[in-house]
Amino acid sequence: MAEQQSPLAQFEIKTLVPVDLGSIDASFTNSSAFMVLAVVLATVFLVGGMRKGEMVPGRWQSMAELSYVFIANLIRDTVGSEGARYFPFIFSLFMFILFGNLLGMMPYSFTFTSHIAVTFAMALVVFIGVTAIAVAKHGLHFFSFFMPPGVPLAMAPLLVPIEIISYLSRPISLSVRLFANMTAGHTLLKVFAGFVASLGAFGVLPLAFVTALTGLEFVIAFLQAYVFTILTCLYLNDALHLH
Amino acid sequence: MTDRGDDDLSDFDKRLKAARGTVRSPFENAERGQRPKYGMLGLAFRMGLELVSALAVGTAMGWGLDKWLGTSPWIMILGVVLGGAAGVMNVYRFAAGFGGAVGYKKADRDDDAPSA
Repeated sequence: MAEQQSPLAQFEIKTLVPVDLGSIDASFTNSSAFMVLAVVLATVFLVGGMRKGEMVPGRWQSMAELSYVFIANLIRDTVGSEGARYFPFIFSLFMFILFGNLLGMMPYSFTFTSHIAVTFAMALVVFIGVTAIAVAKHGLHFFSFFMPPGVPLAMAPLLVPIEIISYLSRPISLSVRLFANMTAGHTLLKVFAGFVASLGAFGVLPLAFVTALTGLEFVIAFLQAYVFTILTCLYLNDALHLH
Repeated sequence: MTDRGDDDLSDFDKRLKAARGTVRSPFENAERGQRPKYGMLGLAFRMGLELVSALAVGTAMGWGLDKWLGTSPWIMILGVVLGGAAGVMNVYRFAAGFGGAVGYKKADRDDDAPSA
């Protein structure tokens, strides 16, 4: 290998503009920069695509409309028509994660979704928001959620803690899934890319593998954005409809 | 397509209106569509994660309660057991098609379960 660089070096946070708020380090980092870039690109993609608003859409407008309809259908299928008012949030969430994942596929870029701090913050917002919606809609009846119907009362001391733990594990599995997929994929790409250089003529084999893996990573970038969104929808469905 | 007669265009408005009448907003309660399905690897990965995350939450809660109440390590041991049970329950529900739901909510469709 020409450069002996760690496969994990790509995940390093670099401070671009130091901002110090007392004891909190609120610096503008490469992670923040790519988040801003994702928001800007998603806005350009949608606003630019719909700028003309033609009856017969061109390629760009088609893509913008497709992404809208994709999420609208997803919400209708999982939550039903009551989900329509949460569309702006879920659509923004989807586009943000999708653009973050896809930006990470560019060479020399930074994948902010490969950081548990980012994904966990998003999962926590979803979790707290969904719980708040459920409590606002159902009041104290929400807590019947933790006691499945038709269970003998004697089982409650055992079942209720299990249900609460199961409920609290949601943001963890939601955030770890996205973070682990992105981190594992990017690390794997880097490791195999390192083999290409070090194996000389036999480097053709890992090169072919890396090529295939890059394709797979694009699929995963889409898929994980989709999975995060669909689980948000399922949780929202639970919150709105309980049992 | 290059040379359209006037007849085609004269009733265009009418045809457009007719076509628009058939289009429904995505939010209208139409039939529920099919959801894409994923490979077995994603499924297995998600199940493992469900199992482990519940265990982690149970253990962490037990540990926190122990620290607060000074009963180390008993609540944590209980938390490990309950967390493990919650994890198994998560996986069971996921596999049985109850979605990621807490509580025994029936899935709307049979193909609800394998969305990784």
